[in-house]
Amino acid sequence: MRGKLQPVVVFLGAGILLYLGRHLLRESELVTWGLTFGGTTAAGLLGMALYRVQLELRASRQELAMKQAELNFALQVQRALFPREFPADRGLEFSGVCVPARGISGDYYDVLLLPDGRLVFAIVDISGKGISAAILMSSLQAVLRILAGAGHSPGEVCSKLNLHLNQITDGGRFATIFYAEWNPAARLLRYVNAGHNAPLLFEEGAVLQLAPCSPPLGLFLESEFRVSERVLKPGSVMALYSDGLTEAGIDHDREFGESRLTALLTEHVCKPLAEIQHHVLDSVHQWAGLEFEDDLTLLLVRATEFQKEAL
Amino acid sequence: MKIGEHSLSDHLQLLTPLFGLITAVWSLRMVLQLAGAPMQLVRVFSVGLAGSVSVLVVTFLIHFKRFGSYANVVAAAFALVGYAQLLIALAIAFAAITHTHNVFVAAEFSFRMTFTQHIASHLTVILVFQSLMAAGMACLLLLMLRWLVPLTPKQDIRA
Repeated sequence: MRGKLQPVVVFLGAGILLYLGRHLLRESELVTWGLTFGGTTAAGLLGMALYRVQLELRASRQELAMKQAELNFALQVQRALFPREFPADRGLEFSGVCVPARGISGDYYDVLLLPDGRLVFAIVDISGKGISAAILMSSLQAVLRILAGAGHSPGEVCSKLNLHLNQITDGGRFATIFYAEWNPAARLLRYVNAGHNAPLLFEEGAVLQLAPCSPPLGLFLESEFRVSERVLKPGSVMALYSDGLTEAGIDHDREFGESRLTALLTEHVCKPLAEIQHHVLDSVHQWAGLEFEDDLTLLLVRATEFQKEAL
Repeated sequence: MKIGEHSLSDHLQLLTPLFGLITAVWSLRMVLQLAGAPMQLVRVFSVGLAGSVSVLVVTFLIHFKRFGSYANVVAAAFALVGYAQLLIALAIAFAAITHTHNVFVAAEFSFRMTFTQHIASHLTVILVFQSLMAAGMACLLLLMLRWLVPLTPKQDIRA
C-alpha cells in the first residue's frame, strides 16, 4: 500500500508546485533544459554504444585468440602424425613436406618399416580442406598404420581403407591415395594408385607417370584396387605430390602445373632429396605467393644401392 | 523508508560524490563571476549541466553496481535536481539578503523577476520540469544500458 502511495504523493506534489509556479516559467528556459538533458542523454547513449562495440571487439578478439590457440594445438598434434624420421638402409631414401593451406592439413604422407623388412610409403589427399579434412586424415592415418603393420597387401589395405572411409562419411567424402610397398631384396615396388595425381618416376633420363588405375577411396562401398608392380633401379627418383602443388596459383588463373614441376625436377633430379624439395617449394612460393589455395604435400623417394647384409 | 530494496541512507551514500560535484560547480561559477571571468566561461560551469551529468553518472552507477532499478534512478534524479535547484535558490536568497550581485541573479537568468518570484520559480516549476526531464532521461538511459550492456546474472558459489 505504501509503495502505491509514493508515486501518488510525488505526482500530487509536482502538480501543486507546477500550479504555484504557473506564471514563472519562460519558454526559453524549457529549450535550454531540453538541450541540456537531451545532449547529455545523447552523449550517454553514444558512450554506451561505443562501450558495447569495445566489449564485442574484445570478446571476438578473445574468441579468435582461443581458436588460434586450439588450431595451433591441433597443428602440433597433426605434426606428430607425420613420420619424424625416415627408415634408412632399406634401398630407399625419403624427403617429405606438407604445407597446410588453413592451419591444419587434409593431406598426409607416411613411411613405415614393417617387421619383415619391407617398407611401406603412402601419400593421401582428403577431399576438402581445413578441420574436417584433418579429422578424416587422422582417422585414415590410424587405420592405415594398423593395416600396414598387420602385413596386408597394398590391395587389401586400400580396400579396407575404402570401406572405412565410406562408412564414416556415408560416401560423402573421398580420398585419393598412392600406397606402395617396397621389397628391398627384390627391389620390387608394389603399389596402388587410387585416383591420386600420378607420381613422377625419373629413371635413366626418362620420366614416367605411375597413373591411377583405381577409383578414389570412400566413393563406393565396394571398389577394386589394382596392384601394379615395378622394379626400381638404383638412382631412380619418385616424386609423389598432392594437387595443391600443381594447382598452386589457380585462384589467379595461373596454375603451377605438372609440366613446370616435371621440368624443375628433371633439372635438379641428381641433387640430394632435401635440396630438390627446397627448390620445388621455392619455385611454388615464387609462383603462387606465400599463401596456398590447397594443402601442398611432396614426398620424394630415391632408390639407392641396397646391401642385403643390412637386413 | 526504502526505495527498491535500498534505504535512503544507501541512496545518500551513492549520491554524496555527485552532490559534491554539483556543489563544486556551483561554487566555481560564483567564484569565477566574482573574479570577473568572462561570461562565456562562467556559462560553461552550469549547475543545470552538472545536475544533468550527475544523473547520467548515477544511472551508470546504479546499473553497473546492481544498485537497483527504475525506482532508484528516478529517486536519484529527483534528489540531484532538487539539490541543484536548492543551491541556486540559496545563491539568489544570499544576493537578496546581502544586497550583493552574483551570477544566479543576472538579468539573463532572472528575467526581471523579483527575488521572491525567482526563488519560487526554481523551487516550483523549474524543480518539477527538470526533475521530470531528468527522471525520463535516467529511465531511458537505464533501458538502453540494460539492452546494450546487459550484466550477467550473479553466480552462486557453492562448495
